[in-house]
Amino acid sequence: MTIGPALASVLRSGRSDFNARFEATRRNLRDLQPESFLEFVGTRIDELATAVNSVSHDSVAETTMVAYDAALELVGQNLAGPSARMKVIDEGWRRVLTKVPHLVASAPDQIIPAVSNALYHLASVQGTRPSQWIDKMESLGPQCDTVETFLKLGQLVAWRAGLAHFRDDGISLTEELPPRLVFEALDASAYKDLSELSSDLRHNPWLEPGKGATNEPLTIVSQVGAFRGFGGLFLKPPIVAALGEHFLAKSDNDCWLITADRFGATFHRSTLKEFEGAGLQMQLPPELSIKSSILEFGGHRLDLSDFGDLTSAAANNSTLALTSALSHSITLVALL
Amino acid sequence: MPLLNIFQRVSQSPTNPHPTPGSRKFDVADLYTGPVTSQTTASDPAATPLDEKLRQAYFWIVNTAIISTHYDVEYNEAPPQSFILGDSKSRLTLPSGQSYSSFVLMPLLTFATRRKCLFVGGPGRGKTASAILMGVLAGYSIRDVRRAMQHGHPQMTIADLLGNPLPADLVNAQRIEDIRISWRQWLGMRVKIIDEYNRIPTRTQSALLTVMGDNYAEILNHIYECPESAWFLTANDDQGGGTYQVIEALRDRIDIIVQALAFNPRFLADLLTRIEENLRPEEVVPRQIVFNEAQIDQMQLEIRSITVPVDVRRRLEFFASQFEFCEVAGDQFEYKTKDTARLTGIEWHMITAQDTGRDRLKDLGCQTKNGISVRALMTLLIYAKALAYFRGNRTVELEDLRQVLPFILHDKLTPDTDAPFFDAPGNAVFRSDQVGWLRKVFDLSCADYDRLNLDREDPVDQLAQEFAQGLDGLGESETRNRLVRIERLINEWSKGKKLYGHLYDDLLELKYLHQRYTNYLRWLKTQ
Repeated sequence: MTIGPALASVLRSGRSDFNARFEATRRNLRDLQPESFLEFVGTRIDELATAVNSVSHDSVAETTMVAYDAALELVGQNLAGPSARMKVIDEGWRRVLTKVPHLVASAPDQIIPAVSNALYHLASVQGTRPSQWIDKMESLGPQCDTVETFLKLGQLVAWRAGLAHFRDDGISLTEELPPRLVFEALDASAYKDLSELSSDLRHNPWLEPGKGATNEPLTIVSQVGAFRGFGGLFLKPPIVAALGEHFLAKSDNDCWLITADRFGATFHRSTLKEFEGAGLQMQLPPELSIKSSILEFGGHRLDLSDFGDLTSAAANNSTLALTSALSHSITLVALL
Repeated sequence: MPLLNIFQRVSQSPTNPHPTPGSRKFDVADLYTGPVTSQTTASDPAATPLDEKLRQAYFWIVNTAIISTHYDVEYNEAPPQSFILGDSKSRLTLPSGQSYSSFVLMPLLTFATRRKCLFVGGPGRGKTASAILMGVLAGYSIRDVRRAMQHGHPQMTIADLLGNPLPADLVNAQRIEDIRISWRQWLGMRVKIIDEYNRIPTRTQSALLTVMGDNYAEILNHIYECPESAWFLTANDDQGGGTYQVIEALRDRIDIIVQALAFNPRFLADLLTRIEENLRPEEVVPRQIVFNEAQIDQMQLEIRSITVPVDVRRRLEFFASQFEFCEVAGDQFEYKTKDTARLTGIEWHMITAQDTGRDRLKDLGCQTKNGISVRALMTLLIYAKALAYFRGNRTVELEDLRQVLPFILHDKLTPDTDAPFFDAPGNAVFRSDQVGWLRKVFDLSCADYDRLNLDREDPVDQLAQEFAQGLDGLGESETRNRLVRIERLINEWSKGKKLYGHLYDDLLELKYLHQRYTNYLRWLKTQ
């Protein structure tokens, strides 16, 4: 493995300190293997140091030190490096960090942990699309003039990549970022006006920014959750209850809060008490009816005969959630 | 950038996660928190809630500083797994909830509530090190804590402990008020450490008692007012086996006693690391877990605001009422207490020999030679609140009370080891295991409370609640009615019921209520 001159120079000058850091971390993180760490240093950190050196030679040392400490944590916890249990962090360093050397050079202590943690967050939540986050940030990151813009963009794209619980903050971010970045981040080709896009997003969680506000009501927009044996959360077919703009799901004695929109669905631990409280308040909209496996709402109909026996239904202003005895998934139907 | 230091890792929040309530708020900033820490975005220690900071301090101590592998304060969220081992059928329980090591937890609660904690146990088990850590947590430098620590020794004088009059003033002063005193610095500290307090001579112990009990020191008519502080004392033996017998009043001022359990040699590698790194944990306490004076004041306020539900308080009342009653100690009803017998100096076995009629195996009062003092009860309530606070709750649970109780009553409730309870099969072990015994007695008391269905049917509580509503506007007929109800209840209890501690206290309360209504009725007649 050949290390570039920029990194080699920094490593050489701080050799004893870098070695001491490795030894100190290794006492605490027993999985930190010298070979794996060396490979990460020789590839990801070297690429980053080379990229930063091309824009600011003076920033290489600080960038290397921050990257080195971050790498100790990541490789030591098997989150990056050749034996990592998730590959996206390596990919993010390779494709995102090296594409924004001007930002890394100006604030390595913000950008390197932020990108690593964002990818860790995305990879840890079921149903998200970390690769979509990497694609978007790789293409849009270089267009960011400041670290603050880059970080806000990362948050908006994280919502786009499936972290539905960031929906409220994500919509607010559309008003803080340059319009061209927002349109590209959300693939909002159907929109020319940012305020119109923000308004439609706020109004309709099932809006497809690429198509505009042309949803057909009573469309099955998502099926969320799965049997635990297939990597899902549910041991038994779940039942649902509405809780404000979200839903609660109960399977066996476990409960979750579900946040869902067009970009994804995320599950957050809840309690039986909370579910029972929400269940008591459950009310379907008066204009919604389910008769003989036919769902009717505002003159629209949806045939549910393939569902089998419905076990629960819950609705909020925009969404109807249905569960069946035959499935471990929750079916979400758009009402807007 | 500083060298990563394994000794300065603080547990990540939340250290004791609770179920999140429904109206939760998601924060997109969480996207950038994770395994990699940024110096610029690291959380502000001042913004951490104090109960969370206290838990972080606990986990730093148990995971890094004091190698305490004994999780004896057990909590369960689901039925725990337990295993029977060995010839004596020892039970090993694997708790299903977050459980704690009493040796670290109780001193930390003492620190938070500014009470007095005694460490007992053999030499070299971390008693003094734990006490020093508490001083460092209060923001003092390790050097100041070490210098301020008072080491008990047989030649220790009051001057050694408190300070000296200035020699020049002793010669020149015309009046005693003119003699200036050079007070010892430790008196002004908010964490006070007395190492091996049972080696201090008796006369010096009396001076220490004044400081501990009344928070001031006195030399030659000069007074030094000490700030409110947490006290940590150590002793190799809490049964008075030091150089000097510890005076009873001083022992009574100690709020809680924790035992330093044996070191598990399986953790020798951790000791080896310390030797190789040349590190002492008390020298590398992370600043995130150091409390300033205002924070400790605030923490005390927050602990006091923790509520004790009525059902928990009632069980403590029921438990406490078991022990003071001694039917043969006095003739007048009010004097039928163990304290009456103790004050006369009568031999204990003569008292127990006269005690007939009651089931001495089932009567919990027969297991002790004394009752529970008001001070001990107040301490119990404070520590139960502190434990609930530490666990992130705003209400004391029965289990909180159950867990702190043995450590507080350890030296307060004296077992009568000749009582039939200790001869019962399986109970002999409680002669040497005082913590286990106290927990067992509390469990038996709670079982008795449930058997008597006192949560639902408590006529004395009903009468007390009526009285608590006040006497203003209460008519003569209603007053007479209540008097009759009290008399009827006492009459009912007098038929064939044997007297037990809890009944004795109930009867005294009925007498109190009767007297208050009688006085009120008498006043009504004059109107």
